[in-house]
This record gives sequence, C-alpha cells and structure tokens, in this order.
Amino acid sequence: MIGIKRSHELILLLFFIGLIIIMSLLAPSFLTINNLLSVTQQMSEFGILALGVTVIIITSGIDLSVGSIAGLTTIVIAMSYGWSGSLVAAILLGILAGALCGAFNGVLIAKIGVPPMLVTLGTMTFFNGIALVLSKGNAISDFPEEFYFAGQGYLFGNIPVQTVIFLVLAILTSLLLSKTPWGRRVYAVGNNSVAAVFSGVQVDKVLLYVYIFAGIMAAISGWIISSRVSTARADLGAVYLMQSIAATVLGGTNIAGGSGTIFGTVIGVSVFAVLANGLNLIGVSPFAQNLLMGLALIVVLLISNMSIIKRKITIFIKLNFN
Amino acid sequence: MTSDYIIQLKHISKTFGGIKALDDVSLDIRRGEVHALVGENGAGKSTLIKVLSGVHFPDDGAEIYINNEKVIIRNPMDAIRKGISVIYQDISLFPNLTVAENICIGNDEVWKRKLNWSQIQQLAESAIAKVGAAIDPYMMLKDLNLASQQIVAIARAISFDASLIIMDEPTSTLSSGEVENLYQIIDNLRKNNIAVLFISHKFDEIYHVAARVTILRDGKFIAAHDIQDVDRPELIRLMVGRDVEYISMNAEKIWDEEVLKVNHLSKKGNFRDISFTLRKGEIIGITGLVGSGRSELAKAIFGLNKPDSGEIILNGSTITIASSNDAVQYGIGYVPENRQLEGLIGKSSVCQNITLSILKSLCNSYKCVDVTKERQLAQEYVEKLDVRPKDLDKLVGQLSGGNQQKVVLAKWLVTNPKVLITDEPTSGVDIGAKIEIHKVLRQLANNGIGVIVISSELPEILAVSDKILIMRQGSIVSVIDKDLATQEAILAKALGA
Repeated sequence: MIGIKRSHELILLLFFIGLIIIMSLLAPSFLTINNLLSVTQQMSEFGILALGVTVIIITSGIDLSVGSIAGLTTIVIAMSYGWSGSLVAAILLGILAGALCGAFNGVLIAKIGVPPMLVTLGTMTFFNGIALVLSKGNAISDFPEEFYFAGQGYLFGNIPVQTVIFLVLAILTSLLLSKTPWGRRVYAVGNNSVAAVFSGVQVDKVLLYVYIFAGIMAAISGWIISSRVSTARADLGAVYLMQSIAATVLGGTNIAGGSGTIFGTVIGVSVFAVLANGLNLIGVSPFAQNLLMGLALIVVLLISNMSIIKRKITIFIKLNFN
Repeated sequence: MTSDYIIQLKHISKTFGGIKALDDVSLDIRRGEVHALVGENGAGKSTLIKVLSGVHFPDDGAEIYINNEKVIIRNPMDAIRKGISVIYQDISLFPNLTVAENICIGNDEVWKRKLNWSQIQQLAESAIAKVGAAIDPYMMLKDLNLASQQIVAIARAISFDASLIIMDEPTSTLSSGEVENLYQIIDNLRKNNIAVLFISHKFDEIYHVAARVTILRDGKFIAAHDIQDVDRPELIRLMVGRDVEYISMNAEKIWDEEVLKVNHLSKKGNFRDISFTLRKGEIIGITGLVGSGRSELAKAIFGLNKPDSGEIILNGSTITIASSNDAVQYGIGYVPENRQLEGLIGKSSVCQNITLSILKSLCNSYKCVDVTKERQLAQEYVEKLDVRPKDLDKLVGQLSGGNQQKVVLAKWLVTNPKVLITDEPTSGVDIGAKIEIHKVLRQLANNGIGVIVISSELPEILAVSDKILIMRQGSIVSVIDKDLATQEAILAKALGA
C-alpha cells in the first residue's frame, strides 16, 4: 500500500514536471521567476482550502461547505471591521467564525452521526444564506489600505504574501498529520473507525477537530481572497470548492479515506495552477481550459491505476483470444 | 463410479505479486459428495475457492474439468451458470431485496427484460422447498436472521441447478440448533446428488458431515482421504506437519486481590444479573452458545454497551465506564471477536497499530509522537510475542491471522492493563498460533493481570481457564472449577440439558 501511494506521487510529480516543460516550450514567458511567483499566488487561495479538505477526506469524510465558509468569513471580516474599526480584531473574528462553522459541521457529523455529505450539503447553503442575510446580498469594499497586504502585498521584494502563508500552513498541516497523536488518529479513523473505537480512540473528538480545522483553513482562504479582490461578498470562495476536492484526489488522497499526504495535495494544487496559468499564456480559451483540466485529472488517475487496468486487459485477452 | 467426478482441478497455481498462494494444487470432488477442505490459515483454502468460483483467474497451466470436460471459468456469474455456487460467510446477498428477488436475480429463465413476478415467486418457492425450509419469499432479506439468509443463499444455488455448493465456514455465525438444521440441509443436498465443498476449522463438524477430506498446507496439496481413513491426530498432523494438542497450563499464583468485580450487571435483551469476581493472576473462561450474551457482557465492561443496572468494581472502587476511552484509562483492554473489523487498522503498519492506544504517553515536549521511543516499544513487544515477520513497517493486513492477533494483543499489553478481556482470541487462527496465544495469556496472568477468555471452543476453555463461567440466554448458569470440568458437562449446561 505504501508502495502504491509512493508510485502515485511519483507519477504525479513526473506529470507535473512534464507539464512545466511543455508549458515553457509553448509559452516563453512561462518559465520566468515573476510568472512562477504569480502562479503560486493564484494557487494559494484554493490550496489552503485543499489543506482542510485533505484532512477531512483522509477521515473518509467530505466537506462541501468550505467554499461557503470562506464567503461568510469575508462578510464577517468586513462587517466587524466596520463595527469595531480594528482590522486585527476583524480578521480574528472572521477566523473564529470559520472555526464555529466547522464546529457546527463537526457536531452534526461526529456527535449526532449524520453522514458528512448530507450535513455539509445543508450547511453549504446555510452558511451562504447567513452571509447573504448579513450582507443583504451586497458586496462590501470599505477596507483600509493595510487590509490588502495579505492578498496583494509582497515579502522580500517579490514573494507574494499569500504564497508564504500557504507554505507555512502546508508545512504545519503536514506536521500535524504526520507527527501528532491527532494526525495518527485521523488516519486510523479513516482506515477503520470501528477498530479505532475498539482501541479507545475518541472518534467523535477526532472528527470534531478535523472539521474545525477545515473551517479555519476555509476562513483563512476567505480572508486572502477578499484581500486580493478588495471586496467581501457571500459567493467568494464558492468556485474553489470542487477544485480543492479535485486537487486533493489528484494528489493521491484516497476518496474512501485512510491515506493521503499534504505533499501530494500541494502537487495536485500546483498541477491545476500551472495548467490554468500556462493555458492562459498560450491563449487557450477559458472554455477549453476546463476541458483540458478535467482531462488531466482523468489521465493521471488512469495512469496511477494502470496496474489494475493492465491485469483486467490481460485476463480479457486470455479469455477471448486463447 | 471412480470417474464420476463432478469437478476436477489440476495444477492450480496462483501467484500474487511474486508470492505463490497456490502451488500446483489439485482437488477432486465426486458427484453428490460432501467434501471437506481443511488447512491452517494461509494454507490457500480461500484462494482455491476464489479460483473455483471465478473470482481469481489461475496462473497458466491450470486445468479445470466439470463433468470430465475441460472448461474455463471466466467470472463469478460464469461459475454459477456452470453449476458452482459459493455460500460466503457474510452471505453476500442483497439486504434490500426480497427473498424471491435474491434467489432469482441473474437467472436467465426468469430474470428477463420483462420480469415475470409470478414465475419468480414460483421458482423461489420451489427452491426454498427443495432446501426443506419455510421462508416467506416476499420478506426483505435484511429482516431474516443470518441462518435464514444462509438458507436463501443455498436456495439460490439450487435454483441455478448447482452441482457443487461451496460453503465457507458456514457454521461460524450459527447457534447449535441452527447448525443441526444445516446438517439436515446438507444431507438433503447430498440425496439430490449435489456435492458440497465444506470449509471449516471445526473437526467435529468435518467428521460429522464429510465423506472425504482434502488437506492443504502452505498453498500446496498435501493429501486427500476418505474421512474414515484418517483420525483427528492424523488430520492435525497433516494440516500442521507436526503433532500438536492444547497444553493445559495452570496458574503459577493467584493473588487474593480482586481486580475486577461485577455485581448484578443487567442490560435488557443482552444479559441479566451477572455477578463474578476476577482475581489478580486468574484466567476466567466464559463460554456459552453464540447469542448467550457473552460478547455483549464483554462490551459492557469495555464501555461500548451501556448496562441498565448493576456495578463494576475495579480494584475496590466502583467505576462508571462511559466509553472505550474510559475503559482504556482505567486499565481495561479488550481483544475483540472480529479481528479485521474491530481489532486492527489493516492498512496501517504493525508499529502504528501497536501504539494506537497510548499515543499520548509517547509524546515529547513538542506534543509530537517520539518515533524512536515508539519503535523501541513496538519492537520490544514484537519480539516478546514473536510476531512474524519481525517487520515493524509491514502492513498489518498482510500478516497471517495468528500474527495479526498477536499484534492486537501487543496493542493492549503496551497499555499495561489490569484486566484483559479476550473475545474468541484464537478464532480463525491456525493451531500452532493458538497454542502460542494461550501461552501468552497464561504468562500475562502470571504477571498479575486478570484475564477473561470468551470462547465457544470448549477444549480451549478447558486448556486456558482457571474458572469457567457458563452463560445461557443472558445469565450465568454455572461456575465450574477447571479441575472438575469436562466438555460434556459444560455443553450440557450451556444447552440447558
């Protein structure tokens, strides 16, 4: 199993490198420091979302509400800034709101036992509804200049701030998963939650924290999005939902739970970002971009399941042509 | 007569990733014969069944003959159409379809583009009648108990004109009355010239139903005999390649100290008024028929089945155990009955399985798991229990049954338990490993742990326990000292005879 996981990451990595080579051949401006940095800027928002989604999918759960949580966060930050005048307090409140949303999901899933798909299908609309009611459906753009730092600022000259935030969070998540007891339990629950219970693991607690974690990631993502576009709006973040799930699966996280790594997810996210950026530079129409991205996902998943496919073909030939 | 074989398998090999699960195995089954297939875990029985039923495709060189005609079995449905049906342990039917639908689904005679419900019902009824049972064909499968579901599976096989029905440990989920009933059904099948391939770990059953027996060991064919030509010690010898029998081990010392005391514990529908005392160093055996409330009682003590009334006293103080985590904190360990489902994280390593319950105590000052410490501890117990292979990074799901069980035991030993409850600790484990596990349990008791062994296997109960509790219909009906107990006496109490 470890062998299989490794080989998927390797295939994905090769695919990624091949992609970079092709893009740099087709679009001369692709392989420049500035463009690559802007790729990392574009991928950070849904990358951070994908970090939370990865942890959830490892527990064999799913969270469809992360996009809505990000949107709600932007509204909470904007409104609490208008009300308090303190940017720091506003951002902290926004992240708290994300954590609460995650806790709400977590309680319904872990304590009451409603399937994650149903809970988050409901809360996806519910959280979005709260954001719409709070904002009366309007976009809010009353932010001070400093607010734009997270989404539009640069560190050390030309490194986008959100790239740094994404990297730090990715490393943090990776450490949480691989080093802490909680991380170990996350994998155990995803593999076999019954056996986890029989080993004294408090599965409900583990799951609750998983959903809170994803809520916080979604909130941070929302904060960066609204900082970049200088606006708070209920539907910001919604577009990233499916993309973050797709990137996670592309990165080798088993949709049935139990295995997956943050490293894989980061590569999965990078593949999507490079594709989008490269295709833009080449001048492929946005409509064809979707088509190519979907195709890429299918191709990589097919290649990494090649051994199974090969076996089926061999048996088919044996049965029908011998 | 001699050539009247319904099935002949020759030169069957099957390789999984370089490992030979089957190595040139042959199997002959005569028409209408009950044929037992025996072997330790990992001997290749399951793989052979899967080849026979079209789940696995054998390596090159395999020959399969049905009615003396060479065939290729393409897939499971092909096997069924060729007259080979399997009754799996977990039944593998559709819980949300009716009995009639379950019997007829995929049957070309009635399962056509336009379904003819009266035909379906007729076919189902006649198949059930042929089994000699009475089941309402309109019932949902999930509303039947396991024994009846098994009958439905047999009826399905009959409706497909099976000439061979493979039964994979068919009695493992049945009560003794239901087992008797199954014997009747098998007898019936035999009379109708339907052969049965019977896979079981239980010798009593094999000698009761089978006419011939094929023995596998390490993926190889060892021998095939008429059952009357081979006695039990000989059969065991053929299976394991050496002489073994259970070794009865006495306690070195039983302290006066009571580690666990259960007072009038009751739970409606599970067990009632259970009282017993477990002393330090003692092994209590709990036996009784399946459904007598043994496992429910064990789960209650482990915090997974909240009792209605009564008290549990650990080391002199009354405790409330609300969750499995509470139980672990109090020093109670539980080796569950179903290893795969409840005992192990199959896709995780030996090391990570062993330390799952004590991760917190392995943390360094950064709240991270100290991997060096973790591996040392796991290594120590892998050595102590002789888990093979001694590879901490091996995925637990790839170990044999006996070694998996040792990993589950290790998981609890690292918690330093005061009480260890083991539910069918040696089920599905080969005989060599059974004795090793018995030794481990006795050693634990000698080190001062109170041990409870729940088992249906009476020789095992007699070999390991110091005191035997017999349960029937949720109550303890008898407490027998080990020295005074015999299999017959225990069985009589358990049955209520």
